Amino acid sequence: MSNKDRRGINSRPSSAPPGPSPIEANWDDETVPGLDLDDPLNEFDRVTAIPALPSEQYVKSVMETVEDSRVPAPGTPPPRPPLPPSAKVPSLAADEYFSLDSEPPPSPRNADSTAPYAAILPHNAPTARPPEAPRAARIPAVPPRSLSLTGLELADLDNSDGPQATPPARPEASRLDPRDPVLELSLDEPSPRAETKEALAGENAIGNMKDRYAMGDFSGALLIAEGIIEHSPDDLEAPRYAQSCRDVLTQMYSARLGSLDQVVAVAVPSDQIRWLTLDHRAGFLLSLIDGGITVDQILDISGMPRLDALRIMYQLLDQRVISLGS
Amino acid sequence: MERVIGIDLGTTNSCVAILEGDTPVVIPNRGGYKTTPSVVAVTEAGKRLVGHIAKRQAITNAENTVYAAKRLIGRKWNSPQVKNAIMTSSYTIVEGPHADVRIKLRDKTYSVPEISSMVLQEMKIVAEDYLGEPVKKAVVTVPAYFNDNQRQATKDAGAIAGLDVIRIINEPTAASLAYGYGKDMDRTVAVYDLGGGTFDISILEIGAHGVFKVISTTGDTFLGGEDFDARIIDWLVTGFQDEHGIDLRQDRMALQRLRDAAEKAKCELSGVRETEINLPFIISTGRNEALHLQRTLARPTLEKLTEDLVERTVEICKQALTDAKLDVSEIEDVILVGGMTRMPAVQTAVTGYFGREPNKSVHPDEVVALGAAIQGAALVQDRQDMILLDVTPHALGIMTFGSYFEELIPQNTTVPTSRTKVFTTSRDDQTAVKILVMQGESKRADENELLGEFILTGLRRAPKGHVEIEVTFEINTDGIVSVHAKDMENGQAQSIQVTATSGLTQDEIKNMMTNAQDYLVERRVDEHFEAAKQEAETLIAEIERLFPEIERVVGSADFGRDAIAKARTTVERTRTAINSKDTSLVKEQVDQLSRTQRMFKGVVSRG
Repeated sequence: MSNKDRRGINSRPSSAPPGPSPIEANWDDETVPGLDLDDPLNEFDRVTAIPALPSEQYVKSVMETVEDSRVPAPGTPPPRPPLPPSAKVPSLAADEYFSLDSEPPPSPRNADSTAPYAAILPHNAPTARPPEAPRAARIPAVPPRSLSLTGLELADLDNSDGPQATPPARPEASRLDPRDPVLELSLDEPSPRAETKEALAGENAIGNMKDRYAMGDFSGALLIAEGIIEHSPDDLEAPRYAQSCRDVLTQMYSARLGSLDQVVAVAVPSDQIRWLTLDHRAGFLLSLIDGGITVDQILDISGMPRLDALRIMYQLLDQRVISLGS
Repeated sequence: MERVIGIDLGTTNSCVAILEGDTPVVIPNRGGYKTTPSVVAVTEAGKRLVGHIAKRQAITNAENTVYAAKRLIGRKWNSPQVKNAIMTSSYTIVEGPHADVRIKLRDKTYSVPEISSMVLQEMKIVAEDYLGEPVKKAVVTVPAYFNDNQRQATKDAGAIAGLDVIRIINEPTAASLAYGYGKDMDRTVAVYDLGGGTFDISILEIGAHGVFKVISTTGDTFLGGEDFDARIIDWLVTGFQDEHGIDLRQDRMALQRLRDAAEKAKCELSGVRETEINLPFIISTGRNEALHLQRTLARPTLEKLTEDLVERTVEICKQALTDAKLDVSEIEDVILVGGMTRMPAVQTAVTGYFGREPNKSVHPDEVVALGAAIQGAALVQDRQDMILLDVTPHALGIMTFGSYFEELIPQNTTVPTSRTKVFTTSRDDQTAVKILVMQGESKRADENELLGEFILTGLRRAPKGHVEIEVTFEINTDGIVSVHAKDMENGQAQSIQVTATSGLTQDEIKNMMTNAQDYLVERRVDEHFEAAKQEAETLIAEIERLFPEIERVVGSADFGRDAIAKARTTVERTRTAINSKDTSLVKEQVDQLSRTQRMFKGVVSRG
């Protein structure tokens, strides 16, 4: 990991579970050989560990080994529900803004944004490659990289209450970088149902849900939460997490789409549409586009949950199947 | 001069028109369409949808989408038409507090006039957007067979929508007006009206002094363009099931697309001989693949699929002529009304039966609104030569012994009018008579509509038939019916005034009008908010686009970092203002954003 990334990690609040966790000395590999660590003036004497793993893997490995600090100590009050997105955005002083230096880790899903459409092969027809449609001029609705956030830092955990099983505060969409790889993971199709069942198969379904939430994998957390609700309708935490995930994801997708008053147009010639890899729900949303309908109107009449419609619209936009304009 | 709009409030589609100079013109809506679906829906988020957008989700949100409210307006809860609608409609119909009909959408119930008022309000807004001025008065059309209660309910719907409905006229009459039939004509005309949901055939006698008499009217309230669409859907679904073993009707999204595609194909086949129906990704299988539907529909196939529907309309035409006691050769003109009359097979059938080419020079789905606009203009201009005379649409009378109906005022009598008949007691020593005021054409009283009743007492004891009772019916220019009964021997008298009722009280109508106005005000305010929001979002996007460049140019300096921080704060505050839906707050932020944008552009141009 570069020094830039290390500085970035050191200066941001952690999204790991609340409560201090013991860090083994052998993680601390920043020390310079030969230096006297007891020297109070030793500028290299840092407490923080700088792992060599990428942040996602690091988080996962830590979660596997560290004591679950979210288990409430006896006598502690019950966990609070996820906080709603704050209605007021606090105004920050200049020194409260984070460093602009760090670059985001590369997103594996953005490897080739100019890749042609995935073709589906009809019975015996050759693969068809439709001509590349021009990228729609999208007006970004989120700030460019002002924050270098990774999955560790997304949720501003409320650590001040100690080792409570408190759901983390919901990250505000405006602070989130839509290009962040963990967000990319969140914004993609949720994991198949098989994964949810595996997650539920074990005893730690709620823990898994909270872990994913803490890591910023809101799609995954939502999937698990919905599975918990299905199996245990009386569970109190899962519905709160589910709603929180839906709200966050809705904000994220809305931010990616921009103004919902934009008029939607199909960017692919009509004879090429059938070569795309879509499902019937995407096909239905495409069928609603008539040259005058807006994003908001499509969401109103989509016949599916708003979050699902937003996700599909985002995917269609990302795949350049549709374009948005005023 | 005050403008009066003419509104064709149709079962499936509505249309609004106005007189511009001497020419009636139809006013298109914002989408450019000249007709607006008479569909109202409430989304899961509680948003009200009216018109095209409501129709686009009529199947996916079927339980909360109201269509064909015209079939229910002004009807009593226990009427057979309402019972039929309960069984066939996808939305919930419940009984109202006055034995009237209410419709449940999400967590609220609405009266039928209230639902229709939403459509009328939409037409009002269309007209006001076009004219750039408020519109207060309207002439609204109704089917010729509508009774007083249904007409009053339609007027109430107009009132709730903020419209003073200065006249209700019959649809076939309005169509005749649009074709130029007027005062100096003396003709017998057949109006063949095949719309989206209903079929009506009316035989009109156009006489002197602008009297349009509806000699007979009949039809089928469940025969229209939607039935033609259903045949195409059946054809598509069957073919797909044969090929893939999947019933597309089980999926609402697929069914919605099928319905839209079927209607589109049907319309196209009025102009071309075949059309392609292409629905990619119509359904997903369980194997992670989606199937496509692609078929070509030829006009002969459509005609074969729907020939029984067209034949049925001809059978109904025969019934109308029988009711009018006319031979088909006595019909001097045939007028086509309704979009379905564009279908070549329909025109061929009409020509074949009536033995003459029908009049179709005016757009059949606009002709009724155009006629209403002509009548509206004539009323405000007080053009006596153009004003139609009101006639009673149905006969009025009382119920007599044996449950018979005794007519006092015949159907199509011009108002004001007054008629008197003498009746007598039906049994010995009868000291009181009950006068039941009824409206309708049947000889059986129980097949007509009861408008009101009262009792005349104090009759002398006498054998039956010895006491004479004079009954007088009066109708004034406002359509109010008064009925007097008098004992001719002792002068004892009793009377009632019968006003048509839509089932709503005046207080209810007032509340609904207020609610509709609130909605109108909310809609207008929303438009201001949307405009401010759009401007703000455009500025935000522009500023964010400039951030990287600004950071590059001045980001390393203290003042640069301060400026960037302030800009970000302004952006955040604007987003908060947008979320709070406070128009004035958003506009304030727009000013700050504009200043920021100008500053950034200046820095970038110098950098």
